[in-house]
Amino acid sequence: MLLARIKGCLSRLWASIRATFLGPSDWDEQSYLAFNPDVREAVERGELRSGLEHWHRRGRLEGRRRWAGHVWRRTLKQSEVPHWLKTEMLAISTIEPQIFPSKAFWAVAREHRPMKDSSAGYLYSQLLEEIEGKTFTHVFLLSSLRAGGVELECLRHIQTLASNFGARILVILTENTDSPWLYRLSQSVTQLDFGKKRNKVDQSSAEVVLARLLLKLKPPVIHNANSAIGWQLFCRYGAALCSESKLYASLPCFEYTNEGEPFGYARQLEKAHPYLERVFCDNHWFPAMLGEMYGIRADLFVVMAYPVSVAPRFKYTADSRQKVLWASRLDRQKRPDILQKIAQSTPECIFHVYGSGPSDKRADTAKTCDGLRKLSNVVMFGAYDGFDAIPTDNYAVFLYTAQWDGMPNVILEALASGLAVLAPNIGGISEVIPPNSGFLVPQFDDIQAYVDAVRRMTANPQLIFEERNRALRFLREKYSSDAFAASLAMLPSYTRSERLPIPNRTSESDDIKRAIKLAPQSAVILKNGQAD
Amino acid sequence: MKIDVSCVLALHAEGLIAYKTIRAINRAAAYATNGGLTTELVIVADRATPETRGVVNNSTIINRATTIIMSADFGDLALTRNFAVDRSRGDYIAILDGDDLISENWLLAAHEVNRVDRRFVIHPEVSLYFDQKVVLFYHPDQRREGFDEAGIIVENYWTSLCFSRRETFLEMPYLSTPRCSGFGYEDWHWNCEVMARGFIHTIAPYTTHFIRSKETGSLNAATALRNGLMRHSALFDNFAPRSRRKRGGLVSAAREN
Repeated sequence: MLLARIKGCLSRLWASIRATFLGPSDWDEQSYLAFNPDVREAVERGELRSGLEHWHRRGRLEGRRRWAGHVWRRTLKQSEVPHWLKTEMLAISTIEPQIFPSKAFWAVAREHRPMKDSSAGYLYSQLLEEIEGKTFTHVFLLSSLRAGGVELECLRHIQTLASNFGARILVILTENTDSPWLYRLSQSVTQLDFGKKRNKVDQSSAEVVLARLLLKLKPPVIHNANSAIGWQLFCRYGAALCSESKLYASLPCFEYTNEGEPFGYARQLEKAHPYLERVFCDNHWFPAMLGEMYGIRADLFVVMAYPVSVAPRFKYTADSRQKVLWASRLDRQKRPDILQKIAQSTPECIFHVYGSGPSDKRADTAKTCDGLRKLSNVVMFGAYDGFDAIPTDNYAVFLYTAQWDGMPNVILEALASGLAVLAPNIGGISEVIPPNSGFLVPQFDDIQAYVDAVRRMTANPQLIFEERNRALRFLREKYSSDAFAASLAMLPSYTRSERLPIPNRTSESDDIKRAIKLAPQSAVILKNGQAD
Repeated sequence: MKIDVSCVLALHAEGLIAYKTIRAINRAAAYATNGGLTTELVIVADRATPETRGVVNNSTIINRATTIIMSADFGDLALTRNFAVDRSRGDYIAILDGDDLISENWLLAAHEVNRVDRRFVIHPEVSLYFDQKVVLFYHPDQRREGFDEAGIIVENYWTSLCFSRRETFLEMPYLSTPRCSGFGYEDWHWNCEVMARGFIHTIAPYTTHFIRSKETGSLNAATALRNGLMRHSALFDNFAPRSRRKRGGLVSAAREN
């Protein structure tokens, strides 16, 4: 038993090494190029040397398909071919010469015996057993459930569907990572940790298993919140899945590489959009951008105002030394370097900075953090566990300095907490802070505009009071739980709990009946034995 | 006249290849006739190309006395096969493919095995892929110890070529998989469904299915390219707990036979 396990481990290790450095043992270049037309075009343009190069660089991680099914093949020696088969081949080669059992024929031959690996089937069974025969109205696909804007928005969907619409919800976590926010799910929500189990099978098997599970469950609604494998399923198997369920997705805005290339799930939209019922966004700007970029119909998108709890605990009174609050991740998106320059230019203000250290480990971000620590008017408080964990203080303004974003949740939380917010006019921020309010900086990197705005506000506290009150009124009206539930209620195909009618599905016995019924029109038996 | 075996052949765009296919069927039918069986050939030309129709209409190799030729407008392999089964007269049905060839002994050997148990669905011992690639594919035997059905969720264990009693196909017809449905692999699904209903996939020893492999153009390649998915099968609902029990029972039954 132990020897078999060691042998199995060594075998898997060798397969992994081989796949990493040499390519999979059953690599088929032509199939890979056929299944991935973009790769084929890149090879034809000379941007890639081969499909295998793409597989190594990106394809393996992206879970690109490389073969029609799962194959375990080994080369076949001619001596292993049964004699009776060779005899039959020789005989039938008078009908089909290609089957002549020559040496050349066998030189490229391989052997295939199915049933080598049943782990995908066992994984599927295990998942079914965990669900215990329950039925669901909604299945949510989440990579994990941890602190984040998309996760927060997803939780709003789940809570509202469960409490207002009687939904029976299954949350499938698809990545092998921790989910510290799981406790936020109510007891009525079933959780399935697919991510922790999927490492038993390869990527394409994992996709098939998950797709099969969804086909089995046939929930009226499948909502992909932020699952990478979920997007793969929507792209690959969307046609089949949407015949049984309505497919929905949440889309955060693009991220950008160092070179400025946009990336994110929105890039999957081009393939998946024919199968999607609706796509949820948290601002109007991003759908408009996607519509312009891809030509996707506008009514695919639903803009939701995700509820925030309006509890104005911050109250500002004019002070001799004004305090400014900054709270975000210290990474290149949030541009702490802009904060640093603003702080250097406004020594009369004190900046309280909350946020965990640079997550992207970039040298320039780390250098910026060091620079911030050295400034006498900056106090670094480190990581914080949600906006509510930031102690109340007499802040004149909440400062936001990101380079790109959609609808930053931290801005909504700051406004709801009674803070006036000074932010760049990026993404959908202008939908909550009017451009003519003086609290929106036209260019995200215009340091002087930030500095001027801070000085203008602190010199005239009335501006701060007015903006604070405007924002609170706005949030109470637009970002309430009732408004959110009312918006969901406008989508009956999303909120209803009954199973969808499946007009095109033919039952097993109906199929033959249909065939026979169609016979007079669709098929003609020719008395003279001729095909039309 | 009583017919023992109906050979069901759906044609669409095979063109001249259909000529070789029919020749191989004739060869196997003659062998079966020598073994005491009566056979018929049921051809359904479903939206057939002119060249394919030409082969069917003009070829002298087709024995019109023992062949039913029909023209259909299903545009769907599953419906075409179901229709052909419905119109066939044999006690047994051999499902054949328009591109492929069968070994001479296929019909007779499959019939011999099927006489043992009415629940059997017979497959050839091997499928030999030729043309674009050469692969020797060994079909698993559900009666063998060690058979594990769970892997069928990601891989079809058996090709479409099969042989069983006509009642099998009437009880479990092929399910239609229109292109727009996103579903495909009607034969894979059928293999699963008949297992779920208690039929047993087994093999006829020393028989071969010669499969013309194509990178593109075949139904399976087209389905794979459009990312088709097999329909849900009742077989998947009860893999693990049932597998071992059932396997044990089958092995016992096989030994008794």
